[in-house]
Amino acid sequence: MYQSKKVIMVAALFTVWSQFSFAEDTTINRLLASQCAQCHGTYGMAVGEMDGLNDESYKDLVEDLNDMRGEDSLENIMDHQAMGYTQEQIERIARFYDSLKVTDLQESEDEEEQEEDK
Amino acid sequence: MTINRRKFIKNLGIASLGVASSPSSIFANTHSSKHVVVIGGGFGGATAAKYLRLWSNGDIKVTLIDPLQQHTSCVMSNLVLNERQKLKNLRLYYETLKQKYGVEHLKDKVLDIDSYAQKIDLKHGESISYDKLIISTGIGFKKVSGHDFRKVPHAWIAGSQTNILKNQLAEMEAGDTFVMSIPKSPYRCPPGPYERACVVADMLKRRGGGNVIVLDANEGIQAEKHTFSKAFNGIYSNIIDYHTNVKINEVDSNAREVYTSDGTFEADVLNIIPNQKANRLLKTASLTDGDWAPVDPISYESTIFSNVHIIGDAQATNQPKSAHMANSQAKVCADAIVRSLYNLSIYSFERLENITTNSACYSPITYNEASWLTANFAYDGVSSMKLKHIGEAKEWSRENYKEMYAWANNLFFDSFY
Ligand SMILES: Cc1cc2nc3c(=O)[nH]c(=O)nc-3n(C[C@H](O)[C@H](O)[C@H](O)COP(=O)(O)OP(=O)(O)OC[C@H]3O[C@@H](n4cnc5c(N)ncnc54)[C@H](O)[C@@H]3O)c2cc1C
Repeated sequence: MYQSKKVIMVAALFTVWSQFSFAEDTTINRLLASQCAQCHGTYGMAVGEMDGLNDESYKDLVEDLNDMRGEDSLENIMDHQAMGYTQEQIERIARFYDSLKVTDLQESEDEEEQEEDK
Repeated sequence: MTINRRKFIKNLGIASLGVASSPSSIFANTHSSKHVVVIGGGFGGATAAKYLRLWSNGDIKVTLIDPLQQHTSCVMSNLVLNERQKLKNLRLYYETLKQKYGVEHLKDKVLDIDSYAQKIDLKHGESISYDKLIISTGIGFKKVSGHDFRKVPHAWIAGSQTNILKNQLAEMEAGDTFVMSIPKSPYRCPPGPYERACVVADMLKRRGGGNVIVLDANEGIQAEKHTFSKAFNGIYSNIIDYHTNVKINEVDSNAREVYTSDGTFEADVLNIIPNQKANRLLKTASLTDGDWAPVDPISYESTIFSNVHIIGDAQATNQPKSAHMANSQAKVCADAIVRSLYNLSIYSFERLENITTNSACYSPITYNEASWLTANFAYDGVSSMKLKHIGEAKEWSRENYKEMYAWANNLFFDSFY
């Protein structure tokens, strides 16, 4: 029992430490991602026919942007836009939009809250 | 889709900067002592006001000063000329900024700024003070002798000017001559004048032909060179007569004649777009060095006065003077101001490495086809923004024309709604 408590504490300390030392400033991701908003809407909520980004997963967004950058011939406007960012910046942008994704769990929590409010 | 409120707080506001704020304070009345005044409610100013409220979770009080209830967008205004767009659809009202984000709009004109006392003088109201000031008042003109804007419109600030030019163009008939000038760089919207030449050439072509004489103060096409050379020398080769390195000496506004270094040109409709500089307020407030206002692009703070930030067309960096870019700069500026008001560094390596801006522009080339231009900039780590990538459409197309509306709508929403 004592032993397992100690293991948990060490693990917890390690988690805190690793978060501290590797924590990125997420407001920088937010600033980078805000530069997509002119076309894709504030916080990725686009209006009209433009694609929104607020339901994009990290994986899909990184893949899409890298595909655009990797085109042999840059055809459309996004192929060119994607060229303006480094790999790390693309990942930061993707992490930001991924963090906005409304999960099924949250959606059902919201629905429950709305029910309670009624 | 609506966004979960708790998640919104967690991810987006100052909560993530480590600043305490109670959820109930979001966008409700502000009790904070921090006050940012934004002068000019165009693309730069409206975006800055909105994002300051968003990123401070409504903690910073933001007052937006503009003499009108709404801004009229220059973006898409060339399409008012050929009646593909109505001017009323380009009016972007400040009401949503107030209702949705709690931005206070003060309907007034700023006459002067006392950057030492951190106070501004208004035309009608009493002077007000600020902790931080953002100025996004756009351009002013270097008027040439004889140029009466009411008779010879520039239509380079949208609104009544656009209507004057539209009405004059409506009266043009087959065989008539339209003469326009292109200002010396840098000027507002680098592709804009070439786009206008195409729009008018297309109108004349549909009416049976005519002449479009383009008098460019520069040594060549300033943006989308591939596209506009192709249009001028291709579909409009019988209509557009393009002159370079032309200096406008004088305008006879009644006779619609212009005297230039290339000779005298008579027009049925004359459209002189004068050379440009920062809007007059910047000079009055001693914030200019030459024609434009110098700033540090990591915050857009003036290099002349502290706590004064200048964004959009009026500032002096090498980035294009566009609405998309003004919006982009507004976000870098808002981020810097939120950080400094909460005593967080704007100089962290992580931040400096990730300061980016971008611009995009769609240009109508014919009645239903458009091209586009895009550019990305990144901070060079020393003092300026470096062009990282630039691209233009290979061809103009109907698809681009459709995309142009989707792009403009999102730009309008991200800036004003
Ligand atoms: C024909 C045309 C087409 C264009 N097309 C595009 C395009 O496709 N894409 C693009 O990105 N850009 C385009 N632009 C450029 C774009 O309109 C400008 O770059 C942009 O509006 C600049 O934003 P700003 O905030 O600096 O100034 P503005 O948007 O001009 O805003 C300035 C505001 O300041 C206010 N103001 C001025 N003086 C004072 C004062 N003393 N006190 C209080 N308020 C004051 C004004 O009322 C105004 O609302 C186009 C421009 C033109 C002319």
